[in-house]
Amino acid sequence: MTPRRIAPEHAPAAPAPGNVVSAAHGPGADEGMIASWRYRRGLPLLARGPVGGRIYARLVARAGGAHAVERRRAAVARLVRWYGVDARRAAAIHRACLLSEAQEEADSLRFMHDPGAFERWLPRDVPALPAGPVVLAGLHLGSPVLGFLALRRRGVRDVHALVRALDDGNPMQDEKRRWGEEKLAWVRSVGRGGIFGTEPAAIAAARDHLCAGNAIFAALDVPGDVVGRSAVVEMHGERLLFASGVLQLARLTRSTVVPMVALGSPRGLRLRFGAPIAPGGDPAAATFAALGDFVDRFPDEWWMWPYLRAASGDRESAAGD
Amino acid sequence: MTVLERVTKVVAAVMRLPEVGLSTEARLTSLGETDSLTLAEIATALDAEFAIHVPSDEMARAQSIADLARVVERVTAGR
Repeated sequence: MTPRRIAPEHAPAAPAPGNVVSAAHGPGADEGMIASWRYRRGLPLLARGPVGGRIYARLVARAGGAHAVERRRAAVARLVRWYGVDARRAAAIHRACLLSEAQEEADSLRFMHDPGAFERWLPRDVPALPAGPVVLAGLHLGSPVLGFLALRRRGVRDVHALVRALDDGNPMQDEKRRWGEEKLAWVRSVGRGGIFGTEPAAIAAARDHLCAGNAIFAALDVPGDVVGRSAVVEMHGERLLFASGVLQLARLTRSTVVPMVALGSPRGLRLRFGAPIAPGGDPAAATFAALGDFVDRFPDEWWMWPYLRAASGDRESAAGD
Repeated sequence: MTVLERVTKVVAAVMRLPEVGLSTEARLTSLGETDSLTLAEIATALDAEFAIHVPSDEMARAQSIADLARVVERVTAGR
């Protein structure tokens, strides 16, 4: 399948050869001046405390819902098609998603300055993972990066994340990149490492890590047109293209795939796991079915509504073309 | 069949290239289309072919099929 190019402003923050979790929280819903204010002023000034963080997230959601017109249209149209809700309800869900994404930024910044609060916010423990190598299949939903840190700090297994470098090959607005770099440094520090890049040597190291019986965490909802390998997945009658590199890594290493999401709230972080998908055969269908169930349960937490890509030959479905 | 011939066969299969005429000294990336998973796929195929585990750092240093064959010989010798 030939990868298609998309305009930089529509590229997710962290797509990579396979699927990765974004250090900069996936796609932003803002552009130009709004992005500049968001990362230079809004986030650092407002989000040091929980109340300011919630104000920041609401402001970002409101601005994103109002100004990123093409993305809002794409998200609303998809929500209407998938769930049969009216456009007003769909717009409200989309705003909630923007809020979810901004809230993880705010939470991250707050916890950078208050490590004790972060420890109290994390779940006390994490359920045991299946024996042998495990690929934790996540989504850009809720609090994926903080969920990974919960796995690192509370889990009994050595879980690494696949994270795309914040380099020139990963286009994003300058202020957002600086925030992403700051956050990635924090994640490395708090997680005591645990990050693999996505270049060939790092993927080979990730293979070693799995072969040694450890675990990898990655978000699998990266649009399949910005990566080398993709799978066509049908969701609610729509044929979508998702990156499939991580699932290929799971096949190579005979890893069990465990779908998971992390949901933040003022009370703390909750991790939810789907039924493990045993190694053998192609795990794509079962994995995306389980991830689709999470999306259906928490549609107002999924950040990717505007960014999904229709499979080649199907009707174009991503915002901004 | 020599180690080099077996490694060539593995690389050709993974990269979906004709085995005949494949340069064993050329850079792997010049042989055909590669991406970030190709190296891991070759490593896995070599593991299966030779019943070994080829470590990632050795794989990352290998530039060509001949390099890979030397890696396999080293790992096999150290077993």
